[in-house]
Amino acid sequence: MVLRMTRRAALRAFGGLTAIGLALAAAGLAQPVLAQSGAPKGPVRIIVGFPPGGGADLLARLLAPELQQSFGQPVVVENRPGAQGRIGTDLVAKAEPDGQTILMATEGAIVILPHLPEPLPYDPLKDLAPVSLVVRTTPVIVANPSVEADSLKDLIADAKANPGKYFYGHSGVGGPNHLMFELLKQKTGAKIEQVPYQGTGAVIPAVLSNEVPLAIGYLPSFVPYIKAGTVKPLAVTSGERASAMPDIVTVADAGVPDFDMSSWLGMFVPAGTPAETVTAIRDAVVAALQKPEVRKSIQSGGQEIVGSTPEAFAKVVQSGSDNYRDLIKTLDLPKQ
Amino acid sequence: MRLTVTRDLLAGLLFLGLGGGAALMSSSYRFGTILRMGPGFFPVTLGLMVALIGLVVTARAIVAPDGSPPVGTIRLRPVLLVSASVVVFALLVERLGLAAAVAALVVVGSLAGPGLTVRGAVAKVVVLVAIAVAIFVYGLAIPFKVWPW
Amino acid sequence: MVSDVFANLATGFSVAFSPVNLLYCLLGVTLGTAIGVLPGVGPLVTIAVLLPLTFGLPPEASLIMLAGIYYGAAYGGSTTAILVNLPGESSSVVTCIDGYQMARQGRAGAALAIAAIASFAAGCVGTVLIALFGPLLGGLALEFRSPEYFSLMLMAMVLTAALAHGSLLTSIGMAMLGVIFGLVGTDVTTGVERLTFGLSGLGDGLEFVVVAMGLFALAEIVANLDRPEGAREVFTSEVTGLMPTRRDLRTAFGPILRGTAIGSFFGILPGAGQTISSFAAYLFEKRVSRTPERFGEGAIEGVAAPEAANNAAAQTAFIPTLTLGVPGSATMALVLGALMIQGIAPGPQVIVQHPTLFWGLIASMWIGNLILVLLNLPLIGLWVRILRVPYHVLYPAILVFSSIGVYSVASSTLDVLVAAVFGVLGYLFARAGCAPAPFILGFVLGPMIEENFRRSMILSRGDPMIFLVNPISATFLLIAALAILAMIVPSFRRRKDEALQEEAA
Repeated sequence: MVLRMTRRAALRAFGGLTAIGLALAAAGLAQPVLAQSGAPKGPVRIIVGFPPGGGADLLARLLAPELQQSFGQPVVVENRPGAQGRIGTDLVAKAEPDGQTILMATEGAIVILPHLPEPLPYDPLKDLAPVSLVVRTTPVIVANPSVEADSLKDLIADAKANPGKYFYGHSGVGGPNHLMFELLKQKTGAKIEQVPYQGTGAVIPAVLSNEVPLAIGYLPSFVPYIKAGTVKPLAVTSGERASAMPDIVTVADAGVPDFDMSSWLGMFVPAGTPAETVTAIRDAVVAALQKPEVRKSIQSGGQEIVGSTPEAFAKVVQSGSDNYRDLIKTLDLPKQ
Repeated sequence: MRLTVTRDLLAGLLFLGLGGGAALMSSSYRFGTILRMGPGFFPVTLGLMVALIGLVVTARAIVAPDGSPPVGTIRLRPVLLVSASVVVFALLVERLGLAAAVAALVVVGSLAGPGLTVRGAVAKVVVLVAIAVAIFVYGLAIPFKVWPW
Repeated sequence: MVSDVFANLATGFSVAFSPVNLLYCLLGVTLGTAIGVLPGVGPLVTIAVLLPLTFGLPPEASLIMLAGIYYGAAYGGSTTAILVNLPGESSSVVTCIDGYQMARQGRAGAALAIAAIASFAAGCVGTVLIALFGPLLGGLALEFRSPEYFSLMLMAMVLTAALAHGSLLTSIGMAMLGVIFGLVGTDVTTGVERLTFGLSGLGDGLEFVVVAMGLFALAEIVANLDRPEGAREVFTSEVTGLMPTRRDLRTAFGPILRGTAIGSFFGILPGAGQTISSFAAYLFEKRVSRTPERFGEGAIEGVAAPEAANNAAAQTAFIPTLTLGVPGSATMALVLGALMIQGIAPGPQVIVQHPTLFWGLIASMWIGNLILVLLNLPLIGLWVRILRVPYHVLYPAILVFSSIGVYSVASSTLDVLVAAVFGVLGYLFARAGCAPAPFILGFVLGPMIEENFRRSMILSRGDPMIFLVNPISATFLLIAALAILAMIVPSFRRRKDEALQEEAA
């Protein structure tokens, strides 16, 4: 079995379209800030494993000027796209642990790729040190309006009664969206066939035109269509409802207990980076996340601001990795 | 009979090699059926078709060598040195930085052409390194390692 | 309805026409052109590099500057196609064919001018089309699902092979080879990595600029250095006129109109609209021309038609991009990202929700086109002077710029190495008389043909009738079948051979 995220799946890993409204805050009047003792001592690179324009890239570009102000050092965003984020992640994993190379990661390269058959040149749990889980986004399951079922419960019942009646579109084989829907199928026993697309950008017209009656993708990408009534939302996959659209029920609400799958963007540094440097970076991120213009940019994109501690992030990474390992093992994914 | 290397013969052999190679490389991917294609279906089928075209073109070139103009002498110096200059750039740009990589590219690349003098090479290196650094590093702020140190 | 359109356009122009905004547009066009003309730095890299400049501006200024960058970068890509035989993106591949020949004959000025004029004319028509029909045409893209896309792209491939320059068999072979190279990378349907030699850097497939640098720029440099001593003059020293003659303009008039029509139609289809439209416009002109043998030898129609088509398609491509949120190309995806930063969320309501921004964008596009022409016509003298640089200085400079350009797409040294491999391959193809254009079309369309075929088969549960019961798809297949039939029918074949002999003579 070989499976991987496709390029676009990775590009859109946090929904390229989730970027809606993520603005580069104007640097504003620079106030001299006392750099903390652990702050990086030289120019800082934030590495993004995807091309410019994706969710990770835009978040990095949003935070870079803020970090620059905190550190008193130039902070640049560097795109190292390729191989679903492997290339950028590997670069950071092998960089000097001095806080001057920071990874803005999507969950794919950290908790999913290690469990796919292709060997990785790095071990995300050993070679990288978590700094902070910056934002979360939930996927949403949507249906073309012509689908009769109005709730996930009805849909699952119908799909079980008529195996093979439904198809769902997702943004790439082995990507988080694909795996989450497969988990849903596994938990409910519904037979719904998967149709892979190159990224959420291609999934949207497919469900609008009813080429596939169902689709899964990050909520922010679908918000305009949900508002226009051209797709109907069935459920979000996270454990809690999304603050951007609290009317949409969760999969757990729809009768699949303990279903809690959401995606994150977070920062890592090379393992071995001094603890005070990790703390300094995390503090700078949290300070940036408290600025109203930064908050507004992120929230208007439909993402949830987190800014966790390194310890909390480490737990999320560990449990996410365990979950995906078990999931990938048990799923009946398409074989090569 | 002396075999002239005609354009068709070269084209045929290229198709045969590239098509056959692609088919061979793809033979390990699941083939599937025409209605349920695996990842191997397209590359294997196309590879074989290209190889077949190559076979026909090659045969035609051997049977009727007058049908296509001869390739003529292939001088290896330009093609090898031009490619080598690009390879040298690729190998050096991250290790020794942009300036050294451009300098090496210009020197190796210039060897591909005629009448290179030391003074000419130095002039070209200085000018092109200056332009490249000015445009890409200062102008466009692309994060390059510029100098070897 | 029509008065609405004028009211809307007036709103748009009042937004875009402030002196400050015009200045931003001029700045965008200037920078876009200046960077886009660096060989090997295609529109994608140009836009990616310049995009951050627009982020800090107010929405209207940002949009108009973006429009300037977009058109400047696209024109810069065509400029390198004409001057140094290096297309910036796949839609300017056909511009190379006759544009570069014109440059070698001392007519680079006319080629560059006609490209700018054709782009502007097409841009005007495209703007009006979006204004009149944009909201209506948004839905058309939804009529195209996997079977339609498969059939459309197959038809485009068949037609290109049927009408291409040179031997039919080698054209087909090159197109198929292009498809094979297009398949390199991760298979969308199964996630399997194919033909990557185990290099994870190839997992995302081959970049267009990598292939173009090798097959076009490197192959051309080697071919020039390869010539026997006496025949080494690459560009004639007799440069005739910087501007097109009245006769040139008359000749180009029809091709510009037809190219615009073809481009406007294909641009609406997301995916490969721009590439298909420039190829289609070129082939159509060659077909209707009374002197098809001039094509490939520096025919001005061969520059005018694809440039018009390409720009019209770039314009109408905004319709699906804005109304469906589906970017038609990698370049468009970047533009879309910039729009979203300005709070324009693509989607069905974009026009209603943000009328000033939407109509402002449309007005900006037109102004961007206008400034492009005004800026570039006087600059043509400067570009043409580049060709007077002695070739032994010019070619190392092309090597430097294109190597850096290819490297900066993804900071990948592997990409540069692959370009070198394609250089050798391109040289061999050139010596074997195999034209690279069908290869590029296969390279761009092939993976989409495969993906859409396989998706159609999943959705129809393995019933191939899905391609025939659907009228749009069936029509495309019928045209493709007729073209194949015409190739096989001997009388046509004879005529083609005669035409070829004339060309050879």
